[in-house]
Amino acid sequence: MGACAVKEDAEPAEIALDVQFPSTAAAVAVDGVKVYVYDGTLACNELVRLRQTAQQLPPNRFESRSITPCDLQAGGPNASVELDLDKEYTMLAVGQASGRDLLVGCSSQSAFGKTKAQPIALTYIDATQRIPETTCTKLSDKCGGRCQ
Amino acid sequence: MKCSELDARRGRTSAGGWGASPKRWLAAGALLAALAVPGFAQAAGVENELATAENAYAALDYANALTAAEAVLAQQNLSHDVLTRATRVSALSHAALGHADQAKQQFILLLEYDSEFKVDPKLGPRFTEPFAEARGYWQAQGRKSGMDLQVVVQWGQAGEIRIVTRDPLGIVKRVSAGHRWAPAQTYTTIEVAPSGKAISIPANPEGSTRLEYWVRALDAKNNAVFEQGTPETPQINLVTEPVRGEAPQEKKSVFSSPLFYIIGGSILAGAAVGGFFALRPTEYQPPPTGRGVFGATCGSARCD
Repeated sequence: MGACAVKEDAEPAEIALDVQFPSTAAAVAVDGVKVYVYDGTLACNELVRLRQTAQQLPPNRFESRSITPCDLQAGGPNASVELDLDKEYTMLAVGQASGRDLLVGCSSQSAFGKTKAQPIALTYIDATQRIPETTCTKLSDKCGGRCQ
Repeated sequence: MKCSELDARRGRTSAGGWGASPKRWLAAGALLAALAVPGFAQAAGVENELATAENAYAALDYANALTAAEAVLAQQNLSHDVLTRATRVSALSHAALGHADQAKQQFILLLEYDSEFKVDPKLGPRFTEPFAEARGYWQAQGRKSGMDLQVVVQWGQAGEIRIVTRDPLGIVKRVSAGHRWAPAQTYTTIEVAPSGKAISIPANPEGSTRLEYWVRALDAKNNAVFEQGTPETPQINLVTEPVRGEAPQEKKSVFSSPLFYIIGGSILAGAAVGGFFALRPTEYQPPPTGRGVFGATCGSARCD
């Protein structure tokens, strides 16, 4: 029994989960992105449809606070989630502007550590919506307060 | 099957490139060598087509997923794994596209190939309703599909493998089986009609105690509807030589028998070892975890 050595916990692997804005203008227009993480593989089109029609989403494993695109760009602990590398997840991301949904995207993730995580590609939640005009050519300009 | 899982099967990696690891080059060499063999090339071709279907489904491109899955299912000589996966993509794609009748038919087939298959209830009514109808069909049959094997072999005697297929859909046309007594390399292959059949097995040759076998129930296109073992990874059944030559003895006290001490000693040793493993403190091994860090890309490049 004395042979049972205490194992030191290794630093958890870091997995890049990219939220993919359709353009820089879209990233500038969005105030915050909420990410909903579900256990297992759910039908992304159903999740997106539920959100588009303002219906209640199914219970999730994790729901992020509203993360600004600037925080997303910076990464770090304010925009992270603990994941079990052996499991599969479905992630729904919703980009909001002025309190209203503007962008939505979804992807299924599995086998972290063996393969690159799938980006969560955002598209317009409503085809009739338009991205407000901006003078920012870079997201970092907005984050630095150099444009709006 | 998700994209990332498929990527892993095909050896794609996130970063580092092919030059980063000699193991990858060895794997590539092995793959190229395998592709040089026609059978492997055919299997690899089907796997690639199936991967295309599964990738398209994971990317929500249901129309292309369906087309690719149907192309796989149109082929012959599919393994049980490929047949099941292609039917699953076809059923789920039909469901996603709102083709309720076709989805139900494919789910019925899928439940023949894999009676334990379930649809995630979170997927929504477009998926769960045709699946529920397919399950209703099977409940009306009163039995699950499948194939049972019973291997009856004894040392030095001819035996048999009894095969029973349960095929309410009637799609199994014949059963193909192979067996060999290791270390023989070549299988003796036999084809029989479906339902309850027995295949004769010769007595084990001298020096051989391991029977290796596989059984496949095939449909009209030679696809493996049911499968137990494959020529590459056969099922195994061992025979043991009976103890011989013991003369009848008068009754003696059990304490005078060396067998008593051997068995008693074994029980004590087993109890000691079992007690050690049962009572020792369990070492907690947490599941591998990682920290998913959300980032941002603008279009196809990182946001600057």
